[in-house]
Amino acid sequence: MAKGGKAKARDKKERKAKERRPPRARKRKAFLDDITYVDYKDVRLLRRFMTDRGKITPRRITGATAKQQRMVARAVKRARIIALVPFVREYYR
Amino acid sequence: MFSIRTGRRLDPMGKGIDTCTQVRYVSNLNCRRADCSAGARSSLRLSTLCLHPAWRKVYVRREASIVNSYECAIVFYPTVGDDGAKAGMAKYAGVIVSGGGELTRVESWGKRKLAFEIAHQGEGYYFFYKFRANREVLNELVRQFRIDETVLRHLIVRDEAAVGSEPKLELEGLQAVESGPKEGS
Repeated sequence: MAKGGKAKARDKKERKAKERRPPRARKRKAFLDDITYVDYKDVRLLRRFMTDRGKITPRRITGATAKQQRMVARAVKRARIIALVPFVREYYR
Repeated sequence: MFSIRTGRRLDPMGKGIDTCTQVRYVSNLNCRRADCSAGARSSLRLSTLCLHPAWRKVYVRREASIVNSYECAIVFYPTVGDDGAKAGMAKYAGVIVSGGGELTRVESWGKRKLAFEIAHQGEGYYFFYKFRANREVLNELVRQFRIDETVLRHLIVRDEAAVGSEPKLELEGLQAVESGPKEGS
C-alpha cells in the first residue's frame, strides 16, 4: 500500500516536470549592449522599458540583464517621483 | 576582523545612528575607519560603532561632514512664472552654497508637462542641480523644500556618474543651462 502511494507520488512529480514550460530562448537586443548607466532624466530610454500603461516591463520581455533591470527599475521609480513618467496611465473610454 | 552587512534600519539601541552604505568589515571594533564596499566611495570614518546583539550587525554612525556628490531635481508650480522659477532656482543655489556645498551644474528644462496631475497642476518648471555637499546641506534643502509653497516636487539622489572633481560654479551671475530630456538613444 505504502509502496503504491509512493509510486503514485512519483508519477505525479514526473507529470509535473513534463508540463513545465521550457525556458524561453533569450532574444539578444543590440541596443541593450551599451546601456551601462540609466539616468532617471532620460525619459526616452525609460519609455522603452515601460508599457503603455506605465508599468515597468519584465526582463523576460525586454531582454535586459539583471543589472540593467535594476538600474532601469530604480530610474523609473525616481522619474515617477518628479512626474517625468506616469505611475499609471488610465485608459479613457 | 569580521564581516558585517548593515541594514537599512535604524538602530533601536541608540539615537542618531544613521543608516549607512554597506560596510564590508571593520577590522577592529575600536577602530576609526571601516572600508566601504559601495563602489569607489572612500572608506567611512566612524564616530561610533556598536554591535547590536539581536542582529549581530555593526551599525555605523556616518559623520555629517562627509561630502558626496548629489543631484537634486526641483519642480516648481507653473503659477510662479518664468521669473519666479528663476528666482527659486537662485534661492536654492544659494542654500547649497551657503551651507558649504559646491555647485557643479544647474540645468533648466523650462516649463514642462507633468506625466500626471499634481495638486491640480498639469505643468511645472524643472530644474536640476549637481553639487557636492554634506548631510547638513541636504537636510536644510529638504526642510526648505517642504516649507516652500512654490515647490511642487523635489528629489535628491546620489550622483553616481559624478567623478567628484567637476569645477565648481560661482553663485554670482549663475545661469542655468537650458536643456531638455535627452533626445535620441
